[in-house]
Amino acid sequence: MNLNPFSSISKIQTDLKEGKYTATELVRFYLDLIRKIDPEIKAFITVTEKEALKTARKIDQKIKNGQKLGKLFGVTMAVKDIYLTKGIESTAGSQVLKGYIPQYSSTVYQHLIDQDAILIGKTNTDAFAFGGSTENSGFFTTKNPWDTSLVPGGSSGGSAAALSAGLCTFALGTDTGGSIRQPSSLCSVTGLKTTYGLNSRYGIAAMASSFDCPGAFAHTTEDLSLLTSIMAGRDSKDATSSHQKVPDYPNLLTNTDIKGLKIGLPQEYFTGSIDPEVKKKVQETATLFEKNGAELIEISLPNTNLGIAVYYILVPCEISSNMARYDGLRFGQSKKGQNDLFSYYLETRGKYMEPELKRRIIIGTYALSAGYYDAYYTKASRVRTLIKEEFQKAFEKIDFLLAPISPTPAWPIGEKANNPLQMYLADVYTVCTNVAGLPSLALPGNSPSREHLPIGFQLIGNYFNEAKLFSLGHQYQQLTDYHLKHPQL
Amino acid sequence: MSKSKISIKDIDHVAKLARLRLSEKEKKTYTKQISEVLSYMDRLNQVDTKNTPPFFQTALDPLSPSDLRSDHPKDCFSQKTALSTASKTIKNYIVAPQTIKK
Repeated sequence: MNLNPFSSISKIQTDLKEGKYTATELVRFYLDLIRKIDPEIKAFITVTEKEALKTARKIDQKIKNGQKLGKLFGVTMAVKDIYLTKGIESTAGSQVLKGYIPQYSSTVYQHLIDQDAILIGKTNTDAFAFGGSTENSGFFTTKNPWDTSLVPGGSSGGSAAALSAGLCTFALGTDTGGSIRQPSSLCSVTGLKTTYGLNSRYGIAAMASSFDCPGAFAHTTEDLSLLTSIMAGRDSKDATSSHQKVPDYPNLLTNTDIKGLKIGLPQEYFTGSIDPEVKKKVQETATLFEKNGAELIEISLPNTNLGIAVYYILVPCEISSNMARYDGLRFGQSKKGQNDLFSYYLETRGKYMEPELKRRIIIGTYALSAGYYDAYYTKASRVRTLIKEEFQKAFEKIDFLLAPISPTPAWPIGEKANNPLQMYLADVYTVCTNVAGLPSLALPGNSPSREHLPIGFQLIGNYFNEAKLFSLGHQYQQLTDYHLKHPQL
Repeated sequence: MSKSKISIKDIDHVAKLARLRLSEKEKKTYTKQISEVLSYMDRLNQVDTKNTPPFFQTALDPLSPSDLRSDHPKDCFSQKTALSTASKTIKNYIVAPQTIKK
């Protein structure tokens, strides 16, 4: 069977329609690849072989009978295990939910399977998405396909690694403080953190509800624009989801002219702990936009330096509240043999929660407790306003911001695992967009190889400017071929 | 190194509030790590926010009364389905350990 595992959505669909292969053959092809490659990469917690083949047979029947096909027919997807998938184990990467079979599906996932996408597996993540390397997973650490001694990034590291290794055609993640963009950068794939509220959060294990943004990873911006047009939209089950009409993103890919665009380079994103190679590559990218007619404007966003402090107070606060729902009674693993309810809670939560869960719950509970609430929670919420206002002011002068995503390329597994503050500081270039709720598109930014690790960059737009971000990303990917480079496995 | 922001006693207290059993080793580790994290947060105190309101709601077009669904019963899970993830049930009730002492 002649199939490039990195084929785009439109290529696969053309092949299927022309009868070059069937959906069943395609699914078997990816399942074989997973069997061959995933024992080393460890991107998947669950491979949904039976369900995938069943969906494939249904699609083959539809093609044979000339029935109407969904927009994603025949396209394999890997879904971060934090998304609930009805009837299929959904662990959120934590021992807490080991064996948990949800009775319902997340809205975003439902939208995708309604369009005939094929779920091929559930991917690894830091437990409940708390982390940036998958080392906080309650099961195992995923490896970076470009160099298996390195982290893939996180928390959506399983999804990014699966896509980067060619084990699916697109993948789902969530971005609370960089968890889609950072693994995109470290694994060299394209990923989007949407405007807050564009995609429904319903049916996704909650981390920090005022920050969480579900979204997708794809091989190209074009694919990503199609996926987002399907995933996005108002959901009556998520009161914070947006009422905005979802644009037809794929048809707007050439609508924004690079010529004349004002692209801001925030100086705070190019100083401090940034690796010189990362800085150089992102500056080269800026120059490429300039050569194509954009105007580069150096700007300053001094409140960037407060982002980590704001984020790592508010997010643990929301986590401590969200994780309070885990009682080991209604769902989740439970520790038997306790005689009273209080001990039952203590022992169950103490036994099954991973260290990073406990750490963040403690920070959040402390920051919300009597006597500290104003000093931490309210204070950070006020500074949150300042960060948001600073971005708004910047967008009066510029159209987009261009910035690095991770200060360094992928790092060795274990290097930061025992130093939470160091791990938190690595999120310096991603958290502020979540603090403000802005959209940001992550794009591959160099020609990676084993010697030259992937370096991505992000384009940050104003609220609901996804269509323009896709347009810019698409044109960038016409000018470069970095997104077409794949690891040798 | 400045004075520890948080003591083992604080951790003990907060862990109880959060319903977490911690080992002695965990308490020690978290005291050290969380003190470091909280010390880092001190930088916020240097920011003047006297006239800045807090930002709690990220949604740009939050819920309006017209978004609320009508108050009518709709199809829902059967009891069996709803209870399928519970740790222990008897006759369609979730079983929990004793809450009040006899």
